[in-house]
Amino acid sequence: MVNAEVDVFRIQLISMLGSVVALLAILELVRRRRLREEYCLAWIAAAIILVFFSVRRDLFERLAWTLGIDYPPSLLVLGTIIFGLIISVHFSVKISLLERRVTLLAQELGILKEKMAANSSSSEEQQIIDVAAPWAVPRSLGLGSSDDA
Amino acid sequence: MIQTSSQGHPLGTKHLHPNVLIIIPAYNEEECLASLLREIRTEVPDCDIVVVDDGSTDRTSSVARPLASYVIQLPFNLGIGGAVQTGFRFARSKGYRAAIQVDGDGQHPPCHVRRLLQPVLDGEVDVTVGSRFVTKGNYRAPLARRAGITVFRVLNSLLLRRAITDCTSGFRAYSRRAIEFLAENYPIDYPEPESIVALARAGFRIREIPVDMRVRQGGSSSITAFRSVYYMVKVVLAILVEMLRRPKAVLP
Repeated sequence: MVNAEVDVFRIQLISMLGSVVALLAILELVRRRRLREEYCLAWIAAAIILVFFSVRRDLFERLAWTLGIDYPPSLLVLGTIIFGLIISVHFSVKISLLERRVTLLAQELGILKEKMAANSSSSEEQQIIDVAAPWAVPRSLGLGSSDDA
Repeated sequence: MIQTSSQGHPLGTKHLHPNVLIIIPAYNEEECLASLLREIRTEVPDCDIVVVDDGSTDRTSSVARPLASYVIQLPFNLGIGGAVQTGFRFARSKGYRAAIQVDGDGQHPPCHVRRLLQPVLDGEVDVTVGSRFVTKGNYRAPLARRAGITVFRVLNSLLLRRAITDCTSGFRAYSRRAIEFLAENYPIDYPEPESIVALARAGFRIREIPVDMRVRQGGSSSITAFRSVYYMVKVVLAILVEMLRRPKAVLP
């Protein structure tokens, strides 16, 4: 009986320590600007909830029973899975957004480079094109098209 | 259905195509790009050509440079949709009246460019699609391709209540308004069937024009047998999702 109580206290101590360390780790990442505040909110919230329930294990158990869960630790597992799913969907959305932006940047970069090259193209270069492909130049003149389709 | 409309047109076929941009997406097409560009220059010397080099690892850009009006080199491979959209954005910023996509692999015969462009330039429609006559031995996996085309056709017919025979064809001419629409809305990978749905729902007038297509002149298709399943699933899903969106009311 006494042993069982000691065990319960021990695991509670471990989980309190663990969740406090997790909270501090997240805060440290934010402090060093390795993690943007936007992303850390969810993690900090999760860590705070963990700390809270480690301290007030009785509240966690009551919450589980209220939800109709006989075995409280399974609520922990369920919560973890749901949290993980939500955060991965969030990341998928973010990645899609970033991909779209990277694509846009690549497109605009390519267009800008070509426009700059066209602007700064010397007359010398133009002559080379003339020789290599006389039909490549007169687009501005609107010539050609003597052959009718 | 077949309306080339060149005959009887006030300007006839002598009508030049100023302010028309030919968009050529090219990914590792050094083998056949030069001959394609020369052919286009001969067929339609009055159009500007932009080659969009989609992060090729071969000499695609240097092959295109002396023959094309513009060569846009993308810093990395975006996929056919991303490359073609680059062309639309370029056409939009340069103020072209119309644009036509001709694939860099030589499948789209330049002799049909005028036929596709004419209805767009005449303002009869916003989009023309060059539909292929699928002839025997034209493709390495003709059956699979035809099956895919059939699926898309049925799907598109159901959703749009109209038949597009060949919605996988990228051989298309676009009006200014269609260019502006596509510069903002164009799928990145396997874009053809999806963009037709988006265009139709946005109220653009689309006409199919039968053309014969050639076997690709070199290089390799972006659609391998392995990817074709992904292709089907992705496109079907994309089309269904497109139907869930509120149509972008571009036209009155």
